[in-house]
Amino acid sequence: MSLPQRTQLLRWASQGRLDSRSLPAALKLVRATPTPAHWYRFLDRLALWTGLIFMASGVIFFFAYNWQAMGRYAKFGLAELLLVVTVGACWKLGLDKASGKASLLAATLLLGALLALVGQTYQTGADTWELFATWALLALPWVLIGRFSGLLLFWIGLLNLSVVLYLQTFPGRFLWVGLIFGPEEHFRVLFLLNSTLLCLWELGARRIDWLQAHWSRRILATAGGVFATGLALFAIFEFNRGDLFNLLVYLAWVAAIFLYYRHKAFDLFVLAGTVLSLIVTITALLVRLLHSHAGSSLLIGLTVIGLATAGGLWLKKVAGEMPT
Amino acid sequence: MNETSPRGLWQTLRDHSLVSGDLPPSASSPSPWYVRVMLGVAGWIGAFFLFGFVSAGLSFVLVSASAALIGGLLVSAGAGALFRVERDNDFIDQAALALSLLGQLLLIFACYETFSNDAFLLYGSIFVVELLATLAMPHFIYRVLTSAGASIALTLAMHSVGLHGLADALSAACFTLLWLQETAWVRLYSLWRPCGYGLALALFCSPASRLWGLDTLMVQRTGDLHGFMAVAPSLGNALLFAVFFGTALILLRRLRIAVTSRTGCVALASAILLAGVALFVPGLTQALLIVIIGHAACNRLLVGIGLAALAGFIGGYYYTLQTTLLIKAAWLFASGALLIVARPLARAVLPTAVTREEPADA
Repeated sequence: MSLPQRTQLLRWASQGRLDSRSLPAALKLVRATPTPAHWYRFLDRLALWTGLIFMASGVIFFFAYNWQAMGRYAKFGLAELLLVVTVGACWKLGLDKASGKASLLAATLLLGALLALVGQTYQTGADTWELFATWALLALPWVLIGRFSGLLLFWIGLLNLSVVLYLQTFPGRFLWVGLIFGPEEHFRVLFLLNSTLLCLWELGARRIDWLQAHWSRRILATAGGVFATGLALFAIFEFNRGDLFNLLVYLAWVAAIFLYYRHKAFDLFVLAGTVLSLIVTITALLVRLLHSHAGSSLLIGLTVIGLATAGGLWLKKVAGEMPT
Repeated sequence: MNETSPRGLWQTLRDHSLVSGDLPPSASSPSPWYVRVMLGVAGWIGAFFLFGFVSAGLSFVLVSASAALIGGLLVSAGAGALFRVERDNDFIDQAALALSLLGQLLLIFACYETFSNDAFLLYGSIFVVELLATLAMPHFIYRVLTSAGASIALTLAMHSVGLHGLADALSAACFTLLWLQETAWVRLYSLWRPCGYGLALALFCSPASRLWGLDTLMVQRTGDLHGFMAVAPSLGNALLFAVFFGTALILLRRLRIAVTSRTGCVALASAILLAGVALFVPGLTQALLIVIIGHAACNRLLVGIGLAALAGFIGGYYYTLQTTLLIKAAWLFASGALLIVARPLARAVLPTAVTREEPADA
């Protein structure tokens, strides 16, 4: 099934090039409409993934409720039983099947529920970041053997969350001692984390099939881009020590993204996001440099329009250069 | 010849006598959605600075509602003329987008100045402005934004008079109608398609804003709900249920599967079950509708929006205060178990031609 073909047919029909009475037959001919078998497969997968995620979420909600009528051994027994069942289902079904992979994702979610139950029952005094960091650490072997990008992205989400919670608990203890601590440090650490992971992902994607899905790399690139842009905005609006460094880091990131996704692994999505990031950063720079009056607002507005036009034209040009 | 290229596609259609003549000269092909999103966001940024210019340099436009109304209409008319006249000039197109958004800001300002004491009239007038703008302005990104804006304004207007849940259901009905009738309304392609995306965004944003309490920031209403207000949420749920069920019926008819056949019965029973379960989690029915209609339209973007909504609403469900975590846990677990059990049942009941196993890809 193909969206570009479907869109093309609809456009021809809207222009009168294709008789609208022939449109359903044309859609069917180029298989731009789902058949009963497609529907079955789609709904089967939807039921599988949502079903297991619902069940695992239900278990997490249940332990979060901390039901007093249920003893601690019964709770641990339940959590461990469900974990064993999902891991067993994964082993039985195999990781080549979607059902095996979904079971592994459910097991990973249930692992978090079990760890939360340990903290809740024994009042270990551990900080929240430790829960997520331990969860990420213990789930790592499953992520590696799971070989699917959805689970890896979930794991990266856990890693990001544990870093954010760590920084909230211990501001200023992470790598850049002596700098101004606050959201800026969060952005710097998260930028470094996500950009490093993106580099590793791209390196891995050259050899490993399951890492080649565009959408997952795009999510990671978007996360890195948001934090890089945040760093640039901090550098522009707050002139502190190290701000020039932030700006240089941002410019290096932009250059690297343009070079890599333009020439090595073409991805228009990432390029479009980077163009938007540049527009936001240049606008912020103009706001910082120009005095606030009507003329500067008009100038900035026109500059944004000009930059967006130039960016759109460039994206159109590079998209046209790529083979279909 | 590559069958996916316009030339190859045209040739395939011609070989089957579905078209005649040579490939029509192609207008420039539309940009991918993410490039349009980039241009839309840039358009908004530009419009805010132009609004800053108007408020500082042409402040007489903002001294009264009538001045803002006239200013907004003039700017919008100018932008509309640019959209129609300069279709191939990218700079003019982007400038017209920013101007049209500026016009919208001025019109919304005029609505606020006139009706700031009455939330219903305020949001109702914004709804009318957005609706007319959607119909009048021939621009894809602009129509996505204004149709989403119209739907959200209608929701807020109805909430302000105590009618909760009805607007979401109406938006869901319009969304379904637009996407499921795409071949019938093909002549209005440039109108309904952006509206379809706009309504998908509204279906995503509206329950999300309710989950995170943003709607109460925008609509303050006190007093008991009575009469029609008291039954509005139930009516909304019933309408959502009907939309879900109707979608299943339309899709079955499209696939030429009789409702009374075994496959038809299984599909309808599943739809009833799914819609019934989903009603208990705010936003879940809308998210499932976006996913299913996205698949029907072979539209991965819609499916992606729906899946993101699905994940968001499950996360948000944790924080809703309507019921305890224990009840919520039971609902989630039971509905998940139901979905898992439904898979082998469907495989057993449906004809093998439909359930033929294909290699799994996660």
